[in-house]
Amino acid sequence: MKHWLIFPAAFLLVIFFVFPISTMLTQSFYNTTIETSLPLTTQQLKNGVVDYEALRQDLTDEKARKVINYINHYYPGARSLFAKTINNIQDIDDLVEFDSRWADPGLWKVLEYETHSFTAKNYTKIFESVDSVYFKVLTQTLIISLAITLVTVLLSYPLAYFLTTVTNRWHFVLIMFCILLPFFTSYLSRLVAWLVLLQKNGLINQILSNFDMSLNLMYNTAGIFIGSVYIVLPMAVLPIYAAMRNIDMSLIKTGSIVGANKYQVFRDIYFPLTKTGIYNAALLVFMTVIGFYTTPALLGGSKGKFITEQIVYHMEVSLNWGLATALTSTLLIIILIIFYFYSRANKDLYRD
Amino acid sequence: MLELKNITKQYKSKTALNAVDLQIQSGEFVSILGPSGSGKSTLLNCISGFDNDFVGDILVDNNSIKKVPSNKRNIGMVFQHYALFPYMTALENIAYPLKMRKQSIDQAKEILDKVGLADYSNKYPHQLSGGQQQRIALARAMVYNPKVVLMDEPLGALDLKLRNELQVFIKDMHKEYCTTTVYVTHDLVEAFSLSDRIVVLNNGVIEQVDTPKNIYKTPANEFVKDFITSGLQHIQTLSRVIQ
Repeated sequence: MKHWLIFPAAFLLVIFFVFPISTMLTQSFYNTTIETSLPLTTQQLKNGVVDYEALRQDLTDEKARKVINYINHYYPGARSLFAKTINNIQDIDDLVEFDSRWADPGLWKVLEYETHSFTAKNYTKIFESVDSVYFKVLTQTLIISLAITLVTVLLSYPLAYFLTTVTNRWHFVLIMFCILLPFFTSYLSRLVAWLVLLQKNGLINQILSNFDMSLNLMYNTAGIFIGSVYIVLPMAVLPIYAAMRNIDMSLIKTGSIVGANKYQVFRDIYFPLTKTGIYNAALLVFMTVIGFYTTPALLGGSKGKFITEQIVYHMEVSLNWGLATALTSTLLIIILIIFYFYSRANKDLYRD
Repeated sequence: MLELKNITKQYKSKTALNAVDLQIQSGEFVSILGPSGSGKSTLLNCISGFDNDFVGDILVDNNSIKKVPSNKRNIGMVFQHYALFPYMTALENIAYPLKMRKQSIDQAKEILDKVGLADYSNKYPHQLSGGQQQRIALARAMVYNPKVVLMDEPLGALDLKLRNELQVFIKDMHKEYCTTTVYVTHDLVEAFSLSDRIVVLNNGVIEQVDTPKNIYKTPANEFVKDFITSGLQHIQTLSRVIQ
């Protein structure tokens, strides 16, 4: 065996996969926002001292602004307090005199807590209760993704079977072209096409209005469904089709000659032989869908139904990278768990 | 008794079977011998019901089975590549026809013992050798006492040693169960050593039907003569090389 053949791919994997992921995992447990932005205050807090003067000096530095959104997350009202103080910092000698809120033990408790560099708080925030926003969005993402996977596989199975029965080469090419069509155009332009078709005054609703009907097909879960299923359909059709093509026809013939009727042949012989294809398709579709961002963002409405939308929000708007990476890591772990079940299910199948 | 009456199978540009008439007695072992493309497999497909698009009739014990679907024909079949269900154990494979008939699977255990693989009942096909797999396939085709067993080059995928071993095995099984057997092969030695009668098929036409002895002694025409002598030449060449 030529082990060195894997070196280039392994090198790429380490640089672009292992390294970023481990950084992400560490980031989700570490918390350096306060430490880098308010160094003197952190120093004093670590010694157990609440030092107003140290904080005043930290606030003279522009980089202190970075913590505003972050602290506001845990201490409502911090945004205005920090902004007001930083804007007038040149004229302030005593913080408590300027605004009595600086003496609030609640604020200092937050600051003190945030200076611990190792923390599991990002995770406890996600899982603190079943009512927490993140937990809700996470379960919602999971349920929608599973449902999309199920629907996609159910739609793909008969389609893949139909493909195996096509004997004319040009018909096959034409059908394959239609199935692969979503891959030929850019992701965004496809979604924009959906907007034209599905919106309130879109093509479908214009036709339906002739019958005095209208459907809400966009800016809700239905929108996510329609957009996602369409995009991942080829990913499900191809593995299932491959599994069907590999079926030895003499097995089907045997089934029928030993006494199984058409339904029994399907249930006992044909279907089990396509299981690998179904598992592959489901895994591929699920892993793709759970990481979808553009589709739910464009077609799913403004409610932030998908966990990816939360991740992007904390990356770009609230700048709470710890929470963003914790959410990403949770997503990764869910996929790993699913992958474990997938490999277990596949292990039980025969190897020929 | 299996009767083929005037079977003609026409493909777009080719006549695969042309007026094939054949009577096979109950318990008889008949080989269909012929070169590739002579229509052997097409004939089996007609008998098994996978191909119903032909002219003529097929009778089992004087009843036409042409309109009977495969699963109701009560015919057994063995394929060249075993066609065992890969996710079923040896025993489950053999028991499957019984399950479809809602019968007890005791017979499956019995026949597994008879083919000498009782210890392998819980093994999956991929854990068995080619010879063992074909024994299981044979057992599966016999376990429900079908009226006719069709074998489509069952030894074609095996090496010489196993082939000889399984020839004896097939012969023994036939003696024990006395099932009417149609054995398709292009191997002269197999056909001669196993059969009661041999059907020589060429281009969809039956050239001769007779016992192995008569076919060897009095070939009906040039084709049969050539086919048999060229087959035997192989064996003679082989023995000359060895000496």
